[in-house]
Amino acid sequence: MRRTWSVAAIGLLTVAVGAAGCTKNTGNDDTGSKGPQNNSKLVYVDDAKGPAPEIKDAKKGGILTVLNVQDFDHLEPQNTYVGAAIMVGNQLGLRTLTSYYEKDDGQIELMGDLATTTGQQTENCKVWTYKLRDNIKFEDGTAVTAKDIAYGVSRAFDESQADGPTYIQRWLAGEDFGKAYTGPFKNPGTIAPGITTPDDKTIVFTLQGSHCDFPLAAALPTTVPVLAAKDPGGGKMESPMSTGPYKIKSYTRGQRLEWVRNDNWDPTSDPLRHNYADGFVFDFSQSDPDIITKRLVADQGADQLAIGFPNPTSASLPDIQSNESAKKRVIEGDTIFSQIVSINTQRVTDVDIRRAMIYAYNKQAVLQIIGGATAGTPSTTLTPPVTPGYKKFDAYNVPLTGDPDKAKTLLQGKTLRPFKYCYRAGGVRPQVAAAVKEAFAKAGIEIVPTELDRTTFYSLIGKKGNDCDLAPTGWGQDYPSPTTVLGVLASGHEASHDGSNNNSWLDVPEVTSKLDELASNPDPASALPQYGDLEEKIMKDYAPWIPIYYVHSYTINGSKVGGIYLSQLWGSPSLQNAYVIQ
Amino acid sequence: MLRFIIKRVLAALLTLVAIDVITFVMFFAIPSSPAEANCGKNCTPETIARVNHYLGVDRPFMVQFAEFNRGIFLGRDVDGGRVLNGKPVIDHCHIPCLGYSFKTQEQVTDVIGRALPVTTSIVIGAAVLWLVTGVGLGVYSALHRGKFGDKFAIGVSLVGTSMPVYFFALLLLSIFVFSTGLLPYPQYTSIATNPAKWALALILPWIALTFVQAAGYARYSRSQMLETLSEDYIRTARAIGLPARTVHLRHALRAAITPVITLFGLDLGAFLGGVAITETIFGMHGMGWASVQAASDLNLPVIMATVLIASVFVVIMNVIVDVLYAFIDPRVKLS
Repeated sequence: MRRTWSVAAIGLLTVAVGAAGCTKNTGNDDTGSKGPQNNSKLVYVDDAKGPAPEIKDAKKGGILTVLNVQDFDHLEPQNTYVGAAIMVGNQLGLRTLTSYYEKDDGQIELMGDLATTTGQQTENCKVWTYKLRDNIKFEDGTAVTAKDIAYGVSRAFDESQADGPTYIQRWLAGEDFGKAYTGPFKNPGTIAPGITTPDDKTIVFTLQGSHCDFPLAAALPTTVPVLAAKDPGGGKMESPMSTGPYKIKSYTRGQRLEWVRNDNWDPTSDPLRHNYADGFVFDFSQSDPDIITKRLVADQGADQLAIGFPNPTSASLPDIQSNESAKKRVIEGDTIFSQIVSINTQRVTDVDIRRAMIYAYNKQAVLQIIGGATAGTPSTTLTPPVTPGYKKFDAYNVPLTGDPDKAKTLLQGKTLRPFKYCYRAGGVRPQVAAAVKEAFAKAGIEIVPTELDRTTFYSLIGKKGNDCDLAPTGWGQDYPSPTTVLGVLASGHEASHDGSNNNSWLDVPEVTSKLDELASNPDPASALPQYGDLEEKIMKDYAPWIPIYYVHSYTINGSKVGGIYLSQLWGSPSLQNAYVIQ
Repeated sequence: MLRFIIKRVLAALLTLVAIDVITFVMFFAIPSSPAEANCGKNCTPETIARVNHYLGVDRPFMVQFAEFNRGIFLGRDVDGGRVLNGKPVIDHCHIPCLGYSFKTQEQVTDVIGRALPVTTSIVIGAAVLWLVTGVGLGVYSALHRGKFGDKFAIGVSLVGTSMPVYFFALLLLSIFVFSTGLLPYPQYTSIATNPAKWALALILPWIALTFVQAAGYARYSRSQMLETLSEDYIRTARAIGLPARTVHLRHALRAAITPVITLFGLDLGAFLGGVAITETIFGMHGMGWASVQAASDLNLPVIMATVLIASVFVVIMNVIVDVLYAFIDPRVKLS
């Protein structure tokens, strides 16, 4: 997924490196797990039971405030695809069939959330069956049944939910799922093909193919239950009904979102969540990240109970770094997001030219512009270290400042045309483009920086046959599996249509078939190392992108906020264990 | 007098129509694709067509223009292509319908309805303060010309006029919020909900705007006042033994303040359209903030609305100033 998308997609204005995994989680014992187990960060836990393990020193009481520079695009579950929005919804109120628990050692446990387990599969991952836990209710006291989940998944098919994840829809009804079924708004009383609910507590998904990642996709908000009788319709659901520890009390778009305790949540039905704080207030009124940082550094009055979501820009970093108390309140680490320059392999067809571009790129200059070590960690891979299946390799051993001489050697005897470098307007991206132009010029490569509209950038570079040769882009996993990273950005299937996220337009049958084979491997754990090997091979043989840096998150909280850690799943400060220090 | 007022109002209406046409043409001519910008991640040509239909940009210019204006005066029904329970949902956009913000999934009047009270609260409060402080200082300086008080007031106003509002606003935050914690970070609350919290949140924006604005008013009032004080009729008034207070306030100030009122009216009109920098720094979501957001999101209906409303304020304030002027100085209506 993009870090944020449409309006605010990230770009180059984020964070840095440092101590990863400042977590405060106390995990469950992972007995009875299956699924990926090797050295992977992800473990399946099938016997998780509520209540969630107590957090040391956490006490009940107090209202925590989250300060962010902008509102979420959506909270409507099936239409939510931005990491922070998914995380907040899931942790506070919008429970899904499965969910993750992040432990302090960096391990991620996938467990049944509304469901009792991560799912029972038959027919080689084609049929998935879930049983619901007892005592799960909507905020109005209505019991949650399998039909409400079936209805939730079905409403994801409606065209109004076009912003949301599409994994389950595609697996149920094929790539063209929107034509196979148009959702329950247009077809009242129906549910999506492939879903059955034999009884109120059982839901069965019969997929068109083998998808062993189903339990991971089921943790996306596609599976949030929705009460059909109270559904205001697509695009109109501002305050979805909660099934978790908090419910939405009031919401003024763009300004303030208030969650209060949900009396109809039963902690014994939930192995993941707490309700230590009396409530959470999301304050979107300040759109300047530096003012938020200054407030949090100052730590005065109510701001002591505030959690910062935005990363400070280099302008306010010194405020933190010159203040001992503030430094202790920083939560930082690398995120799931990776920044690369996608080289359009269908336009820059000579692989040696692409390799020369990798050699010519000056990562150090770019990192300096985006804010240095607190903004990004120089990278040599597409897949970031926090994503399972990451393999540490450096295919070209380029120094951080680039190696123009090596690039020139590769370009000997070649006639080069000027290359169009398309970047998204805003932030420091024009300065980055200038730095890239300068670095490439040293290697004899001419690029023409072209600024594209901020809001339509991803549509334009996602159009098949677009004329951009290079485009700086960001990407992160949709769920902890390389299928949503390499499986998207290197897949030939993605290179066949508009709206593609394979911005290198890499279309190598051998790679695509290998990716397909890995995705349908019933033992995802054994597939993981092969992803790393495949990515290394792609880098060496096809050089379709220039890895620049892993996006680093660097945020600060007030002094009375406890239990916050950087989510390795969503790249934002996690609220899962948050409490007020009393 | 009535005829004068009617003439001015008619002229204002004509100006508004012209603004309406020009803004509409301007935004119609923008080479952009708001549909793509508002389409979503899994954007298909069908969705773009639907959004285009929703935004109305698939219809001829004149139809769109007529629809837009009909909505303002009569309201209109908007077919967003939404279906619920198997039936199309038609959203009614109430008078004054300024369109639909696809980006935030709400009517533009809702966006404006939230933003306008914020801007009005900031601007009206600050305007009263800057007028009183500015004119007060100006008059004081003029009456104490050359003395320490005059020099001090002029010095302060020089600093005020040369200081950008963003700098002064940050300085205020730094002193009163970040360093000392004397005031909480401003958090706008409606006056109806809690007048005390409302005023508490607005103190800093008011001071910021007042300091920067009052400076100009002080200098302007001072020079106007000095000019008036040197008039023959003032000398006569003094000569016939009128008390200084009557001479200064009743005779001199009344004449001196006329141009200040013009300036005040125009400033107020312009500011009510949004004080983007002040609003942004203090995290207040007023008209200025809404315009900036809408512009960066390419949210055309909201941009249109904020531009239109800002122009309406300027035009209305112009009319009010003209009429007030006529009351203060009866010679005006003869021209």
